[in-house]
Amino acid sequence: MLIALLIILILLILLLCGERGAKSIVTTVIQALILLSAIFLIYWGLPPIPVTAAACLLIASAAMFYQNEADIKSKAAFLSVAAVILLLIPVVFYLASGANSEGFNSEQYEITDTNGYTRNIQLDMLALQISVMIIALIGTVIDIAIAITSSVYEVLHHNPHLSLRQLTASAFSAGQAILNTSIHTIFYIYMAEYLTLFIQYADEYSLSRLLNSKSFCQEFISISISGVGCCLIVPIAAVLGSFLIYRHAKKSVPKKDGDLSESKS
Amino acid sequence: MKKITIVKLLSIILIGIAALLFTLNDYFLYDRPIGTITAVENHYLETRDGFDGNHQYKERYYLQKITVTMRNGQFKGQTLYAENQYAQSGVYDTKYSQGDDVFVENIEKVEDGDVLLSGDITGTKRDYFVVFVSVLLFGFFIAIGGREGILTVLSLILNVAAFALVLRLYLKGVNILLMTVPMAIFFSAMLLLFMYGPNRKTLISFIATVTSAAVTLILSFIVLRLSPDVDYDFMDYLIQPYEQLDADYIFLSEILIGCMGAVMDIVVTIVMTVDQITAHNPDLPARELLKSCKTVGDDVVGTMIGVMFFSNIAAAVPFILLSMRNGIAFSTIIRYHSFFELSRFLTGSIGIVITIPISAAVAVYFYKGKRRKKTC
Repeated sequence: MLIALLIILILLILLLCGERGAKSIVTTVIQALILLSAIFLIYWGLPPIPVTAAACLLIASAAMFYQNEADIKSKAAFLSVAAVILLLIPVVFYLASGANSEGFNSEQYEITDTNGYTRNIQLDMLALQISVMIIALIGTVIDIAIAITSSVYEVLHHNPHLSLRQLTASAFSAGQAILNTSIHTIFYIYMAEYLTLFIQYADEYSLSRLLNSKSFCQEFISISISGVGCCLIVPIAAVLGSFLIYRHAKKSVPKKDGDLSESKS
Repeated sequence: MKKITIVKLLSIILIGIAALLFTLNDYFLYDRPIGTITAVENHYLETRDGFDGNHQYKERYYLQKITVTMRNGQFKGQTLYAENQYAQSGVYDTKYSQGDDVFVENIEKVEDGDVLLSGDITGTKRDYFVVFVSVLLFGFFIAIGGREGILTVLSLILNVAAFALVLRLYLKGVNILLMTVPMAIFFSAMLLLFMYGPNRKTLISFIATVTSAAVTLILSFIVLRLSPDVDYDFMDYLIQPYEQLDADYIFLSEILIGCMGAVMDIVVTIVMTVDQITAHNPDLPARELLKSCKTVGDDVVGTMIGVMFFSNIAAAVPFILLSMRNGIAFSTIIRYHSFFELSRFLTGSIGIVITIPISAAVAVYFYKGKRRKKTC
């Protein structure tokens, strides 16, 4: 079934999206390979959090510099994503360690010592949990960052006489417009992912047991951190993006007689 | 204007802090005994070996001697002594530390110096963290999203309530797919109404969303039917034993819900594009309009597939690593254990890809139709 779906997906992309679509297949494959090598590096014993942080930066650069052109837009988006990841790692650390949310929970009752998954694996599950939460949010953060910096670029391209302040304001409102649908995108993905878990909850859990269970806490923190990431990227990408693009445009003005379109391939 | 924003921000922060302080001290709400850990001593017990066929792992086991001050119930204020064993990796067990609030069971009286009670720690009190992260999330929504942010929060809460209702009905025996389909339709209508208000754009987006989601679901259904029976033994959290057909319905519901958000995201982008282009250039032929939609769609499709990929796959990572360190072959893990994550990613991406032409066609058809009526 997986192979059938994969073939359908690739065919559809090639049929409907043309050359850029093919490029997005390659990007996704590259990103999957980066994630895969991160998993293997952790498996070989490297510390999970640094490996994840590095992998996330590589994933972001694959999305930005390969899929889109390596121009000032992508650079600004990349820096914003890096800033958000660095800002969120301590928050995630505080939440994950404070809530003792490492490891597997009692609702995953198929995963036990006796079913062949012994606990003697010499692997820091807390660090791994933190990595998971960071990986879960990287996709949307990249999505929003690119959308915002592209919009800044287009706005400045069409109105070259905007001040930096106006530019930032327009970037901010563009971000606000995306935020709502992006949040719902990830919200529905998580809802789908945990549908079976929620069936368990609805079956037998009281509210107090739900709020204090490890499984709920793991997911709720992960969902919320993704949401917080989506929110944080908006002002960061708006400010950073408009500042960098504005400076870049002003620098290239004297050279190219104010024709911004020259700097775009 | 500025003043209102500051007042609003301050009130958000104050409400947030109040909520946090409340949950830090809400011991009286619980029937179960709760205590705060005041001291922990860790004693090394032993090292056990793990082996996955290639590598040898050393897992260190520790015993914790924990002193707890009780916070509620009949033993409030008294000191309790408990023991806890953990392995360093923390796969199934927990390492407690000073300051943790924990649930205690099997409390017995003992006479041992100052300590009068003993008991077993059964879990961490986590409601503070749930509230902390919700405050963080909702605060950011409202601070950054403004009016839209409040609507988002409202819509999310309504969604959760509806999910809870659907699950209750499911447990009463109603077919889950029969409920998720109308629920998805209802929520896409509601969300679009929230965003645009009752007008043409909402109707167009709604039709495009429902069509695209339906096509995705039907496609997944056909593939599911044509391929051999899915092995649901490895579906996370599924209550065992299950019935094949029932599990199929759950799986399809997951596929539908998982792609809804992304489908709506694309639809909104495409409809917005058509709307803006026709506003500036009312005479642009339909062919050109479709071409612009395709360009916009190509721009977003890559990153949207990225969103699908990472949001779906991330949660599977700890299990993949646990399995690998237990010597389970990587191909087996992919084929059975991560099957559901991968198929949700693939169906979601298929949904994203087919939404672009569908929504472009629907939008162009309606906008061009509107113009023709006007000219007549």
